[in-house]
Order: sequence, then C-alpha cells, then structure tokens
Amino acid sequence: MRSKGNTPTRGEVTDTVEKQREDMSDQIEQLDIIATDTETVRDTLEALDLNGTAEGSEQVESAIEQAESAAVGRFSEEDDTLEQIQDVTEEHEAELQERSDASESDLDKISDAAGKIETQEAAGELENAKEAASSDIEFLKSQEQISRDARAENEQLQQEHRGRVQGGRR
Amino acid sequence: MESIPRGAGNGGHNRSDVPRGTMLQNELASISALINRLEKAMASLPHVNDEQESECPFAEDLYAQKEELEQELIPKAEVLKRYMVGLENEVQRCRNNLARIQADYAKLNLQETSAHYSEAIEAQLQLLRSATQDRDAVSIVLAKAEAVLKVSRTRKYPGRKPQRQYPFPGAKPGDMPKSSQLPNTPSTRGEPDDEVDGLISLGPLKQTQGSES
Repeated sequence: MRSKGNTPTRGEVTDTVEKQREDMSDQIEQLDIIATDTETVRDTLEALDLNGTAEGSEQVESAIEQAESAAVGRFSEEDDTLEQIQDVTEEHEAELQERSDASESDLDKISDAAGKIETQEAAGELENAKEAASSDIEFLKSQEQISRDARAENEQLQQEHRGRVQGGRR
Repeated sequence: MESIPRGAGNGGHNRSDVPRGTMLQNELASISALINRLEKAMASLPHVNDEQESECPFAEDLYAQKEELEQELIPKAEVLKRYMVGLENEVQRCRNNLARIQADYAKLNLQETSAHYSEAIEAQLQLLRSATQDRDAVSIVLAKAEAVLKVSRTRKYPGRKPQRQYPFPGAKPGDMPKSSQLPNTPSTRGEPDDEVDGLISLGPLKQTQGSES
C-alpha cells in the first residue's frame, strides 16, 4: 500500500498541470516575440543598401548584425528555459502515470479482496474503494493526457520558432 | 579609401570616383582657386575693339590666358556635375536606409535589439550628414564655376581665338616683364620665335605705341 504522505489532492494535480501549461504557453509566446524580432532584423539587413563608404556602412551593418546576434542569443536562453519547463512537465506526467498505474494495481487488489469478502458491510466498503480507485485512475489519466497534449503542441510551436530563427541564420 | 564604392541604387553612376571628406575638400579647394584665377583674369581684361586694338599692350595675352583658365575649368565643372549625381545618390541611399532602420526599429520588442538599432540609426545619420555636407559643398563650387564660366563666355577676344604673346614660364595675366628683361629691338607681334637671348620681344607694346602715334 502506498503512503498517503506525498499524495497530492486532485486540486493540486489540476493546478500543477494548469500552471505548467501556462508556463509553457508564456515561454512559447516569448520565443515567438524573439523570433519575430530576429526576422525583422534580417529583413532590415536584406533591405539596406550598404554600398556606401566602407567605414560608415560597416558601422551600420555591424550594429544591425549585433542586434541579430542579441536576438538569437536571447532566443537560445529562452529556448533553454522552455526545455526545462517541458522536462518538469514530462516528469509530472510520468508521476501521474505512476500514480495511475498504482491506482490500477490497488483496484486489482480491491477486486481480488472483494471476491473473498462475505459480509455485506465489508463488501460495500470495498465497492466504494473500487469506485474511488476507478475515479482516481480516470482523473489521473485525464490530467496526464491534458498535460501531454499541451506539451506536444508546445513542442511543435517550439520547433516552428526554432526554424524561424535558425533557418534564416546569416 | 575615402570614396564611394560601386553598388546598387547609384542610378547607373559609378560612385567609386567620387572622393569624400578631406579628399573632396582638397579637390574643391583646388577648383575654387581656379575659379578665383579666372575671375581675376576676367577682371583684368582690357577693352579690345573689333579691329583687335586695345590700349593695353598685353590685351591678347590676357585674353589668351583667360581662355586657358576657362578651358581648364570646363572639364572640372563637368567632374563636379558627376560628383553631384554620385552624392545625390549617396544622400538618397542614406535617407532610404535611415527610413528603413527607423521603421523596423519601431517594430522591435526586445530592449537588446532596440539598443543596437539606436546605434545603427546614429551611424546612418552620421553618413547622411557627411554625404549632405559633401553634396552641398560640391553644389556651391559647381554653381560658382557655372556662373563664372557663363560670364567668361561673354568676354571673348574679338574676331579670333587669342594667342599667347608672352609664353614665359610663370607669366600671369597682368604681369609686366621687368625692365631689365626688355629687349632693345622690338619684334613683330605674334611670332614666338622672336626671342632674343631667352627673352621675348615687346612687339605688342611697340604696336600699341605705333597705333597711338
């Protein structure tokens, strides 16, 4: 039997999943902003006529290129942060999976025990326990799926933004 | 190298032959000096009647020297016109770049990218100021050259192209030969071979004196 000491409440599980979704969403928004800046900077470099006096035009070009480097560097930092959030989210999904598996194991044990119980009162208690375990399993699987879907969508957007930044690298 | 290299947006003009900054200032100073010499030459032109007679014995020589300066200035003015085209293109290039950088600057979200754009705007502004300054400097000298040439073209020696009478080195319009260099026997006007002991004759002086007597 598992210890109940570290077992989160349903509310805590829901809050954690929701917070991780929000964190990933915020971070993706940040990557989108940086990717947009990177594209703007590259558009500027493409559009400029830099055939003027060598020294002066180099100074202009250099400043814009530094802006590009700054944007790419910042993207890399924020991308790493997103990776960390995704890793934590994935760990939480594994934890939910683990709890779900444990609840299924509990359910099997309860079902086995129910077959051996003869008193109606005890059988009723076991039936309640079975229902509770089933409900827990359903809740945990549902939260795990919500988290996985959010993370998959987030990773897809992350790849798109990476493509925008890395694909157009000069 | 202080010149504009070849590039797009130059309206077909090769910008590489447009000097910039100090090089341009030196060239403009040289052309301005030439303009001043032509102005002085024009100011010292004596009256010559239709029969090519004048009270000044050096009249034809002064006209000839004025013509030489005029002919020297004409190609310089043409060069300045080419510079104007190149510098106009450069000013326009700087304006276009500045407008683009400023427009994109307004779209940026990150502080770090915006900071670099501020540097780029300042650098582009500096280029624009420099190009505008050079263009304006050329414009002033070109306008002066064209104005002086216009007047110079109205001050022609009557009847024919004036010939140098005193082709001694360093001679300038209005220069008078030193008395010690004056030959004893004046020769015929317009014959460069009439030098005596390395000096030239005072033929025109005699002719003028003769015409007066």
